[in-house]
This record gives sequence, C-alpha cells and structure tokens, in this order.
Amino acid sequence: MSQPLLELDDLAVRFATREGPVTALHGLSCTLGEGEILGLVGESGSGKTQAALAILGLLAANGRASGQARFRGRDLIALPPAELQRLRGDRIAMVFQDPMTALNPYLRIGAQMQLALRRHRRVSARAARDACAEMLAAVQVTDPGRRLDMYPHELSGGMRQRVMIATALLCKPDLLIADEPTTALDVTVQAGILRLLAQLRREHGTAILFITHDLGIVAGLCDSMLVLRQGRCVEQGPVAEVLAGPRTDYARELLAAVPRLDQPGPPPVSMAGSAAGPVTGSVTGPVAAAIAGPGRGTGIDTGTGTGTGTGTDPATGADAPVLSARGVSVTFTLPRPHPFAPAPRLQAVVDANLDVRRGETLGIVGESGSGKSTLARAVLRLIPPTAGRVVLLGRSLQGLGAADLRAQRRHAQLVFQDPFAALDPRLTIRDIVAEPLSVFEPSLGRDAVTERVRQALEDVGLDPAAMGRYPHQFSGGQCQRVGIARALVLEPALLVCDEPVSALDVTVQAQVVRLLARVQRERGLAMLFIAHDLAVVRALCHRVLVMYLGRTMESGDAGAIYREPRHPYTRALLQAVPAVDAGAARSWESATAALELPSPLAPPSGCVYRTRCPLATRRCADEVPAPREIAGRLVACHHADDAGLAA
Amino acid sequence: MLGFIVRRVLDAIPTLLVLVTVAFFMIRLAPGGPFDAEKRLPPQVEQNLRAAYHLDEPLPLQFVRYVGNLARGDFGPSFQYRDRTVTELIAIGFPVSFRIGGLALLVALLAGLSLGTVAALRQNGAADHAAMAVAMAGISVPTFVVAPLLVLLFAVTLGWLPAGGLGSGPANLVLPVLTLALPQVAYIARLTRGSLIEVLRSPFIRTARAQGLPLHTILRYHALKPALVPVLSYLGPAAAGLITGSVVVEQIFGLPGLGRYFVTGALNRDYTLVMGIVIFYGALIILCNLVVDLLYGWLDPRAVQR
Amino acid sequence: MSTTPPKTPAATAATTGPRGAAEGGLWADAFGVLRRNRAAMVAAATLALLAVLVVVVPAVSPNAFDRPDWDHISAPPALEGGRLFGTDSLGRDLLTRTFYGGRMSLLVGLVATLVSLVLGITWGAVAGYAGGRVDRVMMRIVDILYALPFMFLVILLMVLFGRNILLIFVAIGAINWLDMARIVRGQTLGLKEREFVEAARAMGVPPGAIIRRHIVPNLLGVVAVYVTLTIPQVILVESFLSFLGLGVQEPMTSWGALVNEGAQELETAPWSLVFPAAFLAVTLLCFNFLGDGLRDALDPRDRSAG
Ligand code: SF4
Repeated sequence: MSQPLLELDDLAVRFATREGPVTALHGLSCTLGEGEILGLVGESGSGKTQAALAILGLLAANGRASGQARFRGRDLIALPPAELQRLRGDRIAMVFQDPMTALNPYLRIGAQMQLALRRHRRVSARAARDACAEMLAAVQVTDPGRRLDMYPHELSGGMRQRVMIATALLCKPDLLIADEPTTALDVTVQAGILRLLAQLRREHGTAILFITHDLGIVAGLCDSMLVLRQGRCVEQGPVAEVLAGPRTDYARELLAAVPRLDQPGPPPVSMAGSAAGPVTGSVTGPVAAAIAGPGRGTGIDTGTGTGTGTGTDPATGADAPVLSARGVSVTFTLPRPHPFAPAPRLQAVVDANLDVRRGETLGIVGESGSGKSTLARAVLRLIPPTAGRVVLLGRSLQGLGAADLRAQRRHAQLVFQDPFAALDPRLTIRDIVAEPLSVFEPSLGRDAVTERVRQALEDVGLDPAAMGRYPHQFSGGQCQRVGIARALVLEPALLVCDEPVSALDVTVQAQVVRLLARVQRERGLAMLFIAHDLAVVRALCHRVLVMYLGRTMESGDAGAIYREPRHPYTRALLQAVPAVDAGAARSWESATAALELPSPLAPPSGCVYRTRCPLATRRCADEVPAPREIAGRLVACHHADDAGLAA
Repeated sequence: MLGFIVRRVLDAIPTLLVLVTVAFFMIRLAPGGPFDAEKRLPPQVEQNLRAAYHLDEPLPLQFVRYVGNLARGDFGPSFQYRDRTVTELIAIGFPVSFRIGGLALLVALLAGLSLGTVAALRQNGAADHAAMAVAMAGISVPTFVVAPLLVLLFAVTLGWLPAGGLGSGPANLVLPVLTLALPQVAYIARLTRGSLIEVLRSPFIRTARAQGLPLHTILRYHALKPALVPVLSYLGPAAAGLITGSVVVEQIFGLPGLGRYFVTGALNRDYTLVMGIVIFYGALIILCNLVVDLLYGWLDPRAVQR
Repeated sequence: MSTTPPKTPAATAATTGPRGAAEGGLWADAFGVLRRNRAAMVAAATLALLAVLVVVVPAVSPNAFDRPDWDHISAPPALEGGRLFGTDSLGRDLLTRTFYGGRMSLLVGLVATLVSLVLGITWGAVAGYAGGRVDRVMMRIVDILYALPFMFLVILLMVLFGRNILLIFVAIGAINWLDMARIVRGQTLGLKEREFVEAARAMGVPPGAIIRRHIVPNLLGVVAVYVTLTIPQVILVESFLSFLGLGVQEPMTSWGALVNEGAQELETAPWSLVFPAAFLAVTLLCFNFLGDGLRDALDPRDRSAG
C-alpha cells in the first residue's frame, strides 16, 4: 500500500490576541505523496505560511494548531515537542522567504550548517565540514570551501538562498517546505533556484511543499496545487486542471490578475485624452515610437488644464517630450574603507537617455542594483546627477535654484513602492493628499482644498468619507491609491512610478495597474514606470528601457522588444519569467545560468554584461558596446545582429 | 585593525586637549586659590610660593607651561600634599578605585547577564517579574541610599562585615563593590532581557528551530552573540558610571581612592591634583570606549567592514 | 549605533488582528496601549499626586521647613504637632522638609531636562537633516564632549562656583543633552530616508516645512520616552551632588541633601533617612515605570501586532 508522505486533516490555526481569538487557518485537508511537489497558493493573510509553521510546530507562542498533520502516519500536531524537534531539520526541512534575515548574521556559514548537521548526525567536525562543502557544491555555490568561512552578509541574496537550501538538504529530508523561497530574489536568480528545486525532486525524490503567491511558478514546478484565501481552501487539484479550468471565482480572479508577458500592451498613444475603447487583440504601439516618430497625435486637449504659465511655454509643442534626459550619469562617492585608501566610486547610472511624451508610458526595467530607481530620481533632481541634461516641459532643470526647482516639482509627481512608508503615519488621509496643494496653491480655502481632496480620492476609487482616517487604518492597496491621489491632485504633466505595485498582492496589483492605466489614458499623462516585473511593465508601457549595472542595454518599443528581444540580457530576463499557462514550456528551465552579479564597484571592462553573457567574446571585454539601432530600437551589444533569432 | 587603533588614538588627542583647556581655565577662573585654606601666610611667603609654582605668571603662559609639562608626562607637584607629585598620588589612589570598580563591573556583568537571560526565557513568568522588580529597584534606589542601608544591615546589625576603611582582607571590599555594582546589575539585566527577547524573535532563530536545534544550542551558538551587542555598547558608559559612582562609595566607606582625592582636591583648590585626575579619567574613558569598539568588531562581523 | 534588523512580516504575523479598529492617530493608539498598562498608569497617578503634594504641603504645613525647634531635636515620627515624619537634628519638621526637598528635586529634574531637550533636539535635528560636513562637525563635537568625565567637571563647577541652583540646572542639562542630540540625530537620519519625507521633497515642500510637518512630529514619540527616562537620571545626579554636599545650600534642601543628613544619623534617627529616601526612590521608580510603559506603547513593532 502506498501511504502518502504528508496528510493534512482538518488542520486549523488559531491565535489568541488582545482582540480575542483570530483564526488564521480553517480546517485544511490535503495529501502530498512521496516525491511530489504541492503548491500552496495564496495572497498575504491567506494563512499559507501559518500552515507550514503549524506542521513544523513553529507557531508563535500565542498560536495553537488543531486537527492532524500526519507525516508517514505520525501526527505531528500531537507529537511530543522533543520528538518533533528530532524530525525537524532531519526528515522535514524548511527554507524561508528572506535569505537576508533567515541566516544568522553573527555566525559563519560553515558554523551554521555544521550545527544543523551535527544535531542529527553523529559525525566529526571534519566530516561535517566536508559534507557541508559537498552540499554547497551540489546546490551550485561556487568555491564552497571558502564560502564556509564567510559570513552571510558577504554573499549575494541568491547565494544565501542556496546556502539556506543546502543547509535544509544536509540530512537528505523526505519533505522540504519552501516558503516563498524566491520572492526576495531577482528573476534570473529565481530561475536558477527553481531549476535547482526541480532537479532535487528528480534526483533525490524529495517531496516539496512550495508556498507562493506566484501562479507562474506553480504552473512550471508543481504537480498539484491548493488555493488558500483568508485561511480557507477555495480550490485544489492537479495544476493543469486548476489552471485550465478554475472552478471558483476567486481562483479565476487570481488567474486573471496575473500579468502576462504575452498579453497585449496598452492602447497606442495616438489620441491622448480621447477615451480609447477597450483594446483587444494584439495591437501594440507603433514600432516607430522607438525613434521619436513624428506626427504623434494632435490631442492636447485635456492636459492644458494644468493651468500655469509653464504649460504654455513656447517650447512645448505637441511633439516635444514632457521629459527629456540626455547623458544622465550618477556617481556616488562612498566612504573610504581606511584613511589611506581612495574613496570608492559607484557608478549607479551611466549615460542614460530618455524621452517621455504626453500620453505615453516609458518602462524602466532592471534587476536590483541596475540603477533604475536612481535614474528616476536623478531626472527629477531628487538625487543630483553628476552629468547630463534634463528638460521638463521645455525648461532645463540644470542650474535651477532650490526654489525654482521646487516650483517645477508640481509638474512631476512621484508614486512610491512601499505604500505605508510613503505616507506620513501622523497625518490624516486628507492632510496627506492636501499637502501638495498647500505648497502650490496656498491661497485655496479650507473647503476648496477638501473638495479637491474629495475629487482626487474619488478618482482613485476611494471613499472620500475616509478622509479623516490615518494610513495605518488602510490596507496596502488602499494606501497606494492614496499615494496616487496625492500625486494626481496637482494634475501634473509627468507621473513617475517607482515599483508602485511590487509590494502588493496579485489581485490588488492588478487593480492598481488598471487604475494607473486609466488615469494615464484619461489625463494624457506622461508616465515613467519603474519595475523589475516585466509582465507588469508589459501591461502598462508603450516603450521600455532595460538597464543592467547602471547601463542601458536595450530601449525602444515595448511590443517589439517583448516579441523579439535583441539584447542577450533582455532575452535572459524574459526567459526567466515563469509563465502561467499550464501547457507552456518551462521557460526558466532553459534560462541562462544565473551567475553572480559583478560588484557595481568594479564592473567588468567593456560590456558590463559579459560575465553572464553566453555570447561574450574578446571584443566584449575590450570595447564598450555603443548603442546601435537594430530593428527599430537601440541595443548596446556587439553581437546583437548575429545573436538574433534562436530562442 | 592596527589602523583603526592608530586612528582612534589620534582622535583622542583633540578630545584630551579640549578637556585640559576646559579644566585648566575653569579652575583658574574660579574664586579662591590654593593657599587660601591655610592660616594666613605672610604676604612675602605667599608671594614666594606663588612664584615657585609659577602662579604669578599670566594665564596663557601658565597654560602653555602646563601643557608642555603634560606632553612630557609630568602632572606637576600637588599643592596640597607638598611632598608628593600628582603622579604619585594617582598611583596611590587609582589601584583602590580600580579594584572596586573592576570587581563591581565583573559582578554586574555576571549577575546582570544571568538575571536578564532568566527573565527573557521566562518572559512574563514569575521569574521574569521578580528579576525585573529587582532590576527596577536597583535603578531607582540611589547608591547613597543603598550604601547606608547595607552598612546598617551587614555591619551594624549583623556585624558580618566591616563598615568601611581599607582593612587587610577582602571583607572590606564586599560592601563597596556590592553597592557600586547594584545599579549596573539592574541596567545590564534590563538590557539583556530586552535584547535577548528581540533576538529570539528574529527570523534566523526560527530557522535554527526549523533545523531541530534544541534551546540550549540555539541560545549558546545563535542567540548569545547578537544579544550581547547592546550590552556591550552600554559598557562604555557603564565604566564611566562606575568611575563616577566610586566617588560616592569612597566617601561613604572611607576608602582612599581617586574620587576622594578629587573631591578634597577640588575643595582645596589643588589645581594640579584636580587637573591630573580629570585628565587621567578622561584618558581612561577614552580607553574604555576604544576597548568596547574593538570588542564590538569582534562580536559583530558586519561592523568590521566599516 | 546598533542597527535594528528589518522588520519582516513573520515577526508580526503572529497576531493578525483587524487593522486599527479605533479612529485616531498613532498617539491615540499609543495612549490606548498605555492606558492598559497598569504599572504605568499607577506610576503616572502617583507622580501627579506627588507634584500636587510638593506644592501644597510646604505651603500649608504649620511647621516651616527651615525653623529649628529646640524642643524637638531628632524627634521620632508622631501625630502630635503634625510631625508625621519626625524632626531632624536641628528639630526641623521632616514632613515639611521632605516635601520642600521634593519641590527642589522635581524642579531640577524638569528644568534640567528641558535644557537638555531644547539643546539636544535642535542640535540633533539640524545635524541629522543637514547631513554631510555640517553633520560630521557637529557630531564630532558631541563625541569629544562625550569623552569628557562630565561628572567630574560638574563637581568641579559646583565646588568652584558655589552652589548656585541655576548652575545646577545648566550643568546637569549640559550632561544630558549629548544623549538627546545623539538620539534625535539618529532618528532624524532614519526619518530623512523614509519614503514619506522623500515624497514631500518630490512634491516640492520646502525643507523647513518638511522638518516641521514630517520630521519633528515623528520624533516626538522617542523624545517623550527619553524625557521620562531623563528626569529620574537628573534627579539622581542632583541628589548625588547634594549628597556630596555640593548641591543646594542650607537651609534649602533637596531629597539628596536630606538623604545625606539622614545617613549620618542612621543609627540614632533612622526616620530621617527613611522618609526622604523612600520618596526619592518612589519618584524614580514611577518615572522609570512610566518611561517603560511609554516606550512599549510607542514601539511600532508591538503596534503592528496589536
Ligand atoms: S556586448 Fe558581448 S557581452 Fe555584451 S551583451 Fe553583447 S555579446 Fe554579450
């Protein structure tokens, strides 16, 4: 007979809080066979992590688990703590979400691994060290012997997560519980980790309980899946079945909310301000957009409501970009490591060019450390650029005094990543949204201000009655709407969004993306959209600019680039994104090996991407590739033509 | 590492210079002089005395002379104890203060760390509340209240320990050390408890638990070092506290330590003695902070990079 | 100083209650939490009562605080004549004197804390917000002052310039503002990096308005906690000076001075130590409890778990 490896039977989790008991998980039942991978899918607050912690007996002190969790027939919930402790890390291991905080910063990697191993295996220190090094090598950590003597902060995020996985695997567990193990990582790094987990199951038959919010990963990695919502299981079954035909509304909503690479982009910019009907099919912006195509639409009707004199600046013709940046560079000087060393210089952005027109969205894409946020802040002069020229609405921002610069800020507003951090916790929603008005239209009376705030809140789909509340009384999605309302209340010409949805749940993310798309279209805004998520960028942007280590790799029309990326880095990025379709190829399986990102303090010579590029040649090391126009976009690569067409 | 030490020592020079300047001019500008206390001296004698000690020179000149001597390690002669140099007096007084302060620090660390750890592990339990009540009392009841009470109990009523003085045996040290250590025990216990609770809540402890490590292993290998960091940063100020606290304790228990010399010196306008002790303590505090910073680098691997 | 690890959802996931059920800002929430802390509330009430008593009692007492009564020298506590706390060696009523001394101690605590508050917030906020070279220079000055043995300088000050109450305020305030400046600067640096401050900058809000609207209000929590913990420290320092005979001058008195006198008659008239010492200890205890409670109430970590 085949007994399942793990059987959850009516597993529930309850917390005692000051406000009374709170149920985080209501009766969860499912089974996981030997060597299977089960995806536990849910948004924040769905109870997915609590389920995992309950299985391992790691709930917080005020939490209680009930029901059964049978591991090889033994009920873990009822097991005496000492016995459960022996199982943990031996037969069942866990990998946590954030590799930055899940490793002890005070202990060397080797020490942490050996503690875990020698808890369960009687081996000598020598043998333990060897075993650890071996395991590190098995998870493709380069130079494992040396890594053992390092501290976690000396490793990159991806390396740390590999160390976490290696530690979990030391005792060859039967079951690995992975709680969002790739959420904190870049896509290319994520692809490597996913490949590793798939290989682990293939080679060792390790069963995996994979907790995630990302349906794309589930589609590619898991055998079966289970959707949790607010502590209840709403749907479960084989992955292919659930994705092909979700039976519940929530699962359908969740699936629909996932941004896709293959979706149509935003409607073309041609008639800014006109209410473009719902665009279906694969209409994408004109390729010509990449190279400042002439004859862009005539519609400048709405935006003129901005009102002040600058709006009618003679330089601002219909075609003149709202924002134009040429040769922008940002170099940071870091503190010296010791008094006699030269101060290290970090080139965060090198020679960036961009134009954003009315009614157009430009996406800036890149992984962490690519300099995308720095670039956005530099063009707004929130960080002083070390070189380059920025023109906003026909006025150069260079050489403006502090007061003049502040006056220009009304035309360019910013939306931030963390919706909570971006709102002053001590101000009411009304005061937060009213703040720009108090700066730029101080003559407005109290009631007039309230009226403008009311309008702004309604515009972003919030109930104006909540004006008197404080940010912490709202959800993340609502706070982000407040942030958008604040940015729009002055009716700026340019909206800069810095990862505005990456901190939000998938369904909320979809709503906010729709909101942004709508206001952008209705108001004919020029928008600069910074994101690491290529699929979200696809949904919103007419043009994209791909950055790596501060340099622009490829820029041009979004549709064209997504269809046919020309730069090897763009291609690697696109390949690494997990696709939702059950039938789709597991693109990340073939994604380029995720090698270590070089230190931005000492970028590689020539082309900065060459250390990870499969096409790199001698020339790439010697010569910095100049951006060239290929197939209607700019590509900075020596071998882009020949690189071409193979998938 | 060596570069770090060198830099810190260089950093200390301006600090000491400021200290010397402030102390020097403060004393000189104060009303009264070193020879006021004695029976009226004939003007001629006083004149000679002042000349002998260069007190008749203009202030800036005196200052330069003093700093010059200081640079050669010469604190000058004491005005009050005429036959002794300040250096000799410090050499007599400091060992007494150091023995009490050092022992108190040791006691404070041992007791504070254990109390704090117990409290953190039994968070909100009876042991926690008891330990924290003791700690709260230790902070709130001043040394100079505790000291007489201890004397009353152990010396007067029970007669177990001497009430003061610097007898031959270690018995004389018990009460002063206890008195001095008590508030520090309290601070360290509270700090330890707070930081240990915080550390035990951190994600990497959960990782360790997920690896099946038992509590004592987690405490010893994973939690101890990070929990010690805030305690360590407190040790610099704590050392200073022990130094200043010793003034009271020396007063109450009649111990011939530096604190006593300082107070009597200040009352008698013994310029050089007071200056010497102030500078000596300043240097001591700088040294304590340097040691703490070095320990810090050893405890926290991330600190080394800075 | 030490950097707190970033908060992870896991740390707060333990209790996911409904967010912010109550209307009102963070302060209102904090007050709600504080209200549930019984120790802190009792402490606050005790302090309020004490504040009233030190004002009222010396004013209405039949026995003036400085009038010797040669018929009742060192009389034990008695109902007769309202001498509930007994008298001291000069026959002065200790009840009146204790509350009168309390006036002095509390006044010193408040005024000196105010001095350090004003100096510290200004210095710290300016250094923190200005950043760069201004910050480096300003903090270097603080570092230098930090390394001075301040307690000794204060003793020196008191000895040399007489026991001026004003001087006590200034001197003690001058010790404590360093801590305040460091804390405020650290907070300001953190706040400056927060996105809502960047948002304000991006919106074109001028620097002055940013400090006023966004920085200072967000500093107040920490400052409030620090103030409640500074007041007892200051009271302690004053008592310590008075104990050494360097504080307030006869016939005025403070708790420290009273404890000093009491300690000398410990064996013959224990009440002269017990009452002032008890009041001193209770006051310090209350401030410390209140400070602890305030810190817990304002701690964002506990908040988000609430
Ligand atoms: S220039 Fe060379 S290394 Fe750089 S992307 Fe092109 S082929 Fe790769």
